[in-house]
Amino acid sequence: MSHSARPPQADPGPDETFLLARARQGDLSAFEEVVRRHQRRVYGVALRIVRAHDVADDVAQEAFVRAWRSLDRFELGRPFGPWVCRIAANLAVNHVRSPRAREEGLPEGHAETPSADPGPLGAVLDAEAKRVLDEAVAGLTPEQRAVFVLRAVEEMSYEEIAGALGISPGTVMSRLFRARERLAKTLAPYLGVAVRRKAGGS
Amino acid sequence: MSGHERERLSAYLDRELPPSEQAAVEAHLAACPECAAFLAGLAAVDEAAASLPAEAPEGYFETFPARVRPRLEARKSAFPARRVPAWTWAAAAALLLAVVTPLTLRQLRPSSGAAPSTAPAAIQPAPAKVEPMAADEPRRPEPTPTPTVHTDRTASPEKRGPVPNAAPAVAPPAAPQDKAEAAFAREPELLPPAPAQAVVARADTETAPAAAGNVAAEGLTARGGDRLRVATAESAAEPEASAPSAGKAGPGLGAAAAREPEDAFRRLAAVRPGSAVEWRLLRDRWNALAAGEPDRLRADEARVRAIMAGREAWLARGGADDEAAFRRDVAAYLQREDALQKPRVERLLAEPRRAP
Repeated sequence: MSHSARPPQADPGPDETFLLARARQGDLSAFEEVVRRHQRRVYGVALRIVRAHDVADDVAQEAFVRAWRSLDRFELGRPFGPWVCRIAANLAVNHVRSPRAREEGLPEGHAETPSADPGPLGAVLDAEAKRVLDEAVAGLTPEQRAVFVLRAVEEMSYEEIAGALGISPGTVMSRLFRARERLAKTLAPYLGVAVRRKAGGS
Repeated sequence: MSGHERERLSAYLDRELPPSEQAAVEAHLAACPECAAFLAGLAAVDEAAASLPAEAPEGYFETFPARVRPRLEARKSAFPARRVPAWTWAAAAALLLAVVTPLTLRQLRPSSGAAPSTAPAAIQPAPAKVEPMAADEPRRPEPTPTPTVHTDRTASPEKRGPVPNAAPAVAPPAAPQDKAEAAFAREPELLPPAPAQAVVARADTETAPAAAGNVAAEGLTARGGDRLRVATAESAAEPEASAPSAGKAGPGLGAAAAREPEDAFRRLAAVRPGSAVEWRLLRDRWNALAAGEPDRLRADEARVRAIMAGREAWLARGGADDEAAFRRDVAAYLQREDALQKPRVERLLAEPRRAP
């Protein structure tokens, strides 16, 4: 079986801790550098949950504003990335759940630019399979999608996800399972081929 | 294996089971090819999903930090006021208004009846600072409590300076800062709730935002309800912090003067129209902003947003003229050599309709 084998979250490093300490004293430029470092990841979390660029943009900005405002509650030395991603995920889910988002209808799909590094399985999944998966992810409930994104993409622990979304770890576990089960079912016809192709090394 | 046990497989994949269960699942997997295959499927789904792109439009991240910064600055300037309960701002403003209004009324307009429109003008502090607000809302009857509270205590001689200029409700505002501002001035009824939001922003979180919310509510009700409902619903839906959507929709006043283009952009981005007419106006404003925007990336994004607003206008009402305008905007955009988001716009064109 293949446990997901992506590297663990990067250590913040003394450099970033220094930047955050400066930021905490009100140094905007230091925080701007922190924003620059984490913006892609935060935007990615937001986009994967809300699935529309404009909304993801709003959410990502708001996540940083809130992180800035709550910096004095942030424990220096801990990684900033997961923290601000959790804020973004929380905002994103709340947005998707809001009545306004429902009025706005179904969000668009992912952005058009292909990923630079599709990853090993991604490389053998054909475009059709990705489209199907993307649609299946869109078809999850916002709550399922958030849990799934934070686990599958951000590789957060159940505890972290639970904290981010204000639910219990048990709920994380069952939502995550339902999301994966549904996606696996949708993707089954493609995954068999891709997994075989990957195993065959072609 | 039952559904419940399959749920354990999912947790096993994440190494979230207690060690004893982890071992039990492992033993089961060794003997059960079906479960092993199921587990492999779950793992593959994760991997495949992580490989899906989540990319922003080209150039987006180059401008992102600069777009966040003014909002941080607005926050920073609010820090000293942080420990002051939200309601005090509203109360101070109300008090000041109660004192100043009769004085200025007597002084300026012997014929009463124009109280709401003269009062805020009378207490506005310095022309330079007031200008964007005047451009925004020539007729807005609510005062802007925050600048008032800050400056008026010390600035009583100057405060009567701008009055004659600002008082007449129909007078054009003095020199808007840029074309987008000029557009605001022409269509005051579709303004984003910037000033009222600024009150909330100033009030900051922690302590009872309710009073500030009421001030915001009055300010907005005075010029049309839709966006009010949106604004308050939004802050109600926000998670952990209580009043924070302020920063999202409305810039801090201090930052507004310093960073006009960004500010104008964010203000437009915060507008949530409720009807075809409003969407149409928003489209025009985005186009106006794009036309006057020297920054290439921002101008491009503004053009795309104009197209999207035009599309919403069409979807909201379904009129042929809206459709024509939408298609015209798209065609014009796709012909531009500097267009950065053609695929996104083409997709809008390809899927113009969605379920209402």
